[in-house]
Amino acid sequence: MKPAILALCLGIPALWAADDDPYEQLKGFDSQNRTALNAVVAQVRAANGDAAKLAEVETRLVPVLHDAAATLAAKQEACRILLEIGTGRCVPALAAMLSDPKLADVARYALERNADPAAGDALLAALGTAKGAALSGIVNSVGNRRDARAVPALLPLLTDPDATLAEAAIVAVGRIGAPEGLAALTKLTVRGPAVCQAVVMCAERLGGKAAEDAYLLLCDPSVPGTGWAAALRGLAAMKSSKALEQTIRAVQVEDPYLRRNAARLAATLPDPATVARFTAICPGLPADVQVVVVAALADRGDKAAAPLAIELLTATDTGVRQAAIRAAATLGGASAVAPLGELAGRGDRGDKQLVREVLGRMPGKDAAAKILEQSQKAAPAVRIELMQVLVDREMREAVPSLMAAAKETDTGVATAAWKALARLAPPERHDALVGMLLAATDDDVRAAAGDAVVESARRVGNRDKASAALLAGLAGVPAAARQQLLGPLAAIGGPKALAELTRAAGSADAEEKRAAIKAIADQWQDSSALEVLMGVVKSDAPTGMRVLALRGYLRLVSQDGAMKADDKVARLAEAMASAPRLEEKKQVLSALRDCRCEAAVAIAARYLDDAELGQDAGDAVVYLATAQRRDNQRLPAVKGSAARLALSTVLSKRGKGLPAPWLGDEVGDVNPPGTAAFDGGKITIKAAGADIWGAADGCYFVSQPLTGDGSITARVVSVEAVNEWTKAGVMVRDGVNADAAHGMMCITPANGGSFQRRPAAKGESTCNQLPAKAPYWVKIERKGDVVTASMSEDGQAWTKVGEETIKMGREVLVGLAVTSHDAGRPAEAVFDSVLVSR
Amino acid sequence: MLRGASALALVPTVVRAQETGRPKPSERLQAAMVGCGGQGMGNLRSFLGQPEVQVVAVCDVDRKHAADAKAAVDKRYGNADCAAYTDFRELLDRGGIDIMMTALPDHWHAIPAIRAVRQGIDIYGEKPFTHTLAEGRALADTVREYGRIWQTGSWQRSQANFRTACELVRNGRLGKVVRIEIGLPAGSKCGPVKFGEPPAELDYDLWLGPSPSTPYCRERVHYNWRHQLIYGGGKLMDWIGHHGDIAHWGMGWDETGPVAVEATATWPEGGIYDAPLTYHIQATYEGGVEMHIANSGNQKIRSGTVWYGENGNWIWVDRGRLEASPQTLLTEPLDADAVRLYYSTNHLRNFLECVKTRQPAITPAETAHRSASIGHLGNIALRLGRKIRWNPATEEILDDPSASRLLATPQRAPWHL
Repeated sequence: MKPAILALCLGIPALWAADDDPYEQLKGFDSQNRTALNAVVAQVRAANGDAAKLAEVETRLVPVLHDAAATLAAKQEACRILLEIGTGRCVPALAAMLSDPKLADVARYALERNADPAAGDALLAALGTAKGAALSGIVNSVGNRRDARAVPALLPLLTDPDATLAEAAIVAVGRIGAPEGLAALTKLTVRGPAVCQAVVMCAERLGGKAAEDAYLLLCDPSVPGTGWAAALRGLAAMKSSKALEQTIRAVQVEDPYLRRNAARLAATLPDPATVARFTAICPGLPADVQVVVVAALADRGDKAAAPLAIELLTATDTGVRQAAIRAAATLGGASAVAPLGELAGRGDRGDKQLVREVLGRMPGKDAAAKILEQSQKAAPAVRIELMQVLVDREMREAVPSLMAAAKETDTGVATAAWKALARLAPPERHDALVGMLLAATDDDVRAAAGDAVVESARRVGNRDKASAALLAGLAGVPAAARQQLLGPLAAIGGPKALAELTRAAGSADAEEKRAAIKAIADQWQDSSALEVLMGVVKSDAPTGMRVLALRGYLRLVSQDGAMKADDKVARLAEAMASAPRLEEKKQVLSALRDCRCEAAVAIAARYLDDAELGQDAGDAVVYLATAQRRDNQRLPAVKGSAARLALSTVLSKRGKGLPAPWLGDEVGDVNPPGTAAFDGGKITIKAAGADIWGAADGCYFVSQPLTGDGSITARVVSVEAVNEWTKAGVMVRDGVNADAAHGMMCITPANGGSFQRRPAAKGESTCNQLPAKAPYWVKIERKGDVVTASMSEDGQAWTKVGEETIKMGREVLVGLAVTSHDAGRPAEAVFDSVLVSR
Repeated sequence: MLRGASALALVPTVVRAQETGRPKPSERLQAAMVGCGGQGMGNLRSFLGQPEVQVVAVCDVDRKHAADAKAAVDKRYGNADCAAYTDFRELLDRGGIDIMMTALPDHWHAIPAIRAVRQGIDIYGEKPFTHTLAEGRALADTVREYGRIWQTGSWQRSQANFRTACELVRNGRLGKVVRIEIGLPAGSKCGPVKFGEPPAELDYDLWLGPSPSTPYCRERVHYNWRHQLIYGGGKLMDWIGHHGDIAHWGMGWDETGPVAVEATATWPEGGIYDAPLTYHIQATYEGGVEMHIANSGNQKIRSGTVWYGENGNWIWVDRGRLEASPQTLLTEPLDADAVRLYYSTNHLRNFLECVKTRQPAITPAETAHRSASIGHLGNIALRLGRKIRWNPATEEILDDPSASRLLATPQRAPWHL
């Protein structure tokens, strides 16, 4: 065991070997290597507050402060430890630092929080000697220590021509809060923000008559509104008898800032006359101040202000009205329900929304009872609003009255009642609701009733059970109504509903047939209806009906989360073959995007040369064969050589990519992203990336698929020397994952030609080099699992650099790879004579 | 991030359509954005979507950030009027600012805010509230003294699932709560760095501001400051204003704090980051309720906030999630007399409404200070390696003078609170 560690364990003074002594090492602290610092901090922690052990640490830190050779960073860290543990023992060393402009701040880290009187004395003494920024810092420290002894020395600084110093002194005097400090502050003729703040801090600390006088002095037009308003708050907080009068005065001044801030005090002024006084002056105040008064009285919670709030529900100013809505609800409770309801009935959208919000959350059983009562008795427009409130409050006890309202002749009321029933009706009422739906005579009401029955059916749980009453009653209603009811029937779903809808979809009655197809296409919720819909698509029904059916079919396929991708693709292929019009074929191509598999790419790729569908097919290929981000989730690119070939075909057709079949990929982190430009046989690649090495790469890789054996040859024309290990060369790689297995023959700026390889995915990399400098030829061959790397000065005479067994899939990528070997800075490499042999 | 509002900013045509009936630019709330990095730019976009707001000035110690922010503002308004500053003091000196957004490193949370508050400016400030407990008390006091509206970026309170969870807990759905678990992200480490000259666009001395001076490196600034305790508070302080804030809300602890805190952690061994990598803090509240805060996974604590009742039932909430055991705890409606919590569905809108009504915003200064306090006390307990006892009424550490010193950090001249 080393002596240092032994000493630490036993808690005895250490005889440190110099190179083990953390205090000696700390002197050289470089702002980064914290070994020594951590050792000292660990000693402080281990001392666990034990004075003797901490004294030892303190004693050992003092020499760091004294040592002229110790770094500034070392002294800073020593002082930050002394902040926690320093006593009078370290003060002399720190006091000496206060007069040094470079060390004064550092010394204060240790002195300011040191409770020893000597620390305060040192700072006081320095007030007389320090200059400039150091002096400002010392002023701040004595202020933070609230050392009243410093006030006489600070007072002359209040008006110092150095504005920074003067402000420091003003705030320090304010923070100390001594009577003579307050007196001096109030005598200052310039009363800017700092002075006002200092007076307020001082007065708050002192309290009593002196504080009240100081606040009153600030209640004056010569003082900025901010200071005046703060003084009013001070008067209110100290419960001064003058607070209300001063506030009422300030509310009526011109300065909008002051009057609005004074008005807020209506919430907290202790004077019992507050509500009456504000109620009296409120009507004469500008709207922006009325808003504040009403909101403040609401927060005050004094019900005496409720009449004012209710009166202001009729205000023309939107802001006042909205504040009144909240205040009336808070202060009036149940008694405000009727006036609030009336406002909601007649008001604008904002009023309606806010009334709904406040009534929805108004506490109390009496409020709930009043809302229910008004939803039955008030004017129709009010009832409609309050029925929504019943929903927001989840008042299930309102269901009987809502069922009665749903049968009323006023269609607005009936519709609103149905909307509420949709949310509130319990499952045992379901059949009764169906009975009411079947009896409905108005189309709008029937639509709302249908929605409600569908919602209610969900709560019943069993689809066949939920559809039974509707199926039984359908025969008894007129044809037009029956057709309208097929929609809800389809939305409820279940085998029995499907049987009825299938029958209707085959009906000879064109209206019924159309209604049934539309109901299934728009409302059916699972894949059990796919067969019937495809039957219609393939039938000789009119095109409109076939289109309707196909759209429904596509919707159901797309939304079926349980259907396997290959199954979906097969369904979509059938849809593509049967689609009656171009537009639907485009929809099928769009639906393919949800199937991230090779089969989907293959279907889209079939239409790339189609004059009318080529664009949509290309979009689908690009979407599938490249990584996407949707709903904050990353969707990986569809893998496989067919997808890559389709993608490169689309990109090169669109003039956006390299000539097919080449594709560029970022492998691992490459920022900025890599680029590749093709220009008559020359390819220029710019790429950043940390390296092609270790267990994962960062590079740009321009590649094409290779199945089985083959080779790639190229001439590296140039490699920009961003790093001596910048790499540019040919590569065979098992996919574009950062940690994929690969073999690469590259040329570097300063390390010759190198055969780089990672023989197994996620494994380590290895390499061997021979001298070479661009321009130079490189080649990678793959035969079975053996990868051979060669290079050549002229492209004729080749030198084998190495070979390695690299197990990769049968389908691999071959191409050109570049990494700058500098994560933030790209390197440019130029290639020509690229040849892939299969 | 400001939720809900940002969708508006993404669809400029909608915003323009709404401009009919907008107040004239001079009559809108004059807004300044201070700190225009990643978080600040996100917030800026939300402010630009508000009809009654006119962003008139942006500020960042990185001139490039300030220029990017100015460009975003000018593009939105179709002019070149937005002023760009690197020094917030110059921005404040121009006057005429009504509201200010701050998204700064933690060590810069208190000073610009206090100066803005005493000029009468209302503030939307990012969490954590401040860098130290003493700063938090000073800022909360100044906000109170000046009657300013303060909204903290603890936007989870304006989300329905968090409010629902808290209302259920507050109304006794779990019976007596005996344990709370809070899962937050873990810390980070960095390898050896190269010190060098700061880039020309960065006023590094101003970036350092009141905190100790250290040599510049890329890994020091712009987001990475969070992992260095002299500038940030680690992931603990980054997130305590979210899930810790929600824990407090559910318990009705907006103006109090724990009575004892102890903590363990693992630390980075090299590099310049010194915030914990993993941590577990146990805070005990009056009545013995235990709050366990850890990087999620540690102590089997899952991300988010979970309250446990005495009978083993629990309610768990995280972003976009709300679960309970048994599930019926969530489905039974609250009765008519239930306590209802502050209702806000849009954090930024709530701030702007309160600026008009002068009512407290949903995450006001005192609340934010108390949420941050849990983390501050945790960090102090971590540094000391021993349990501390805390009086939440007087905000004093009891019987441990050495620990008490860590409540505040002396500041580099000329900076002061």
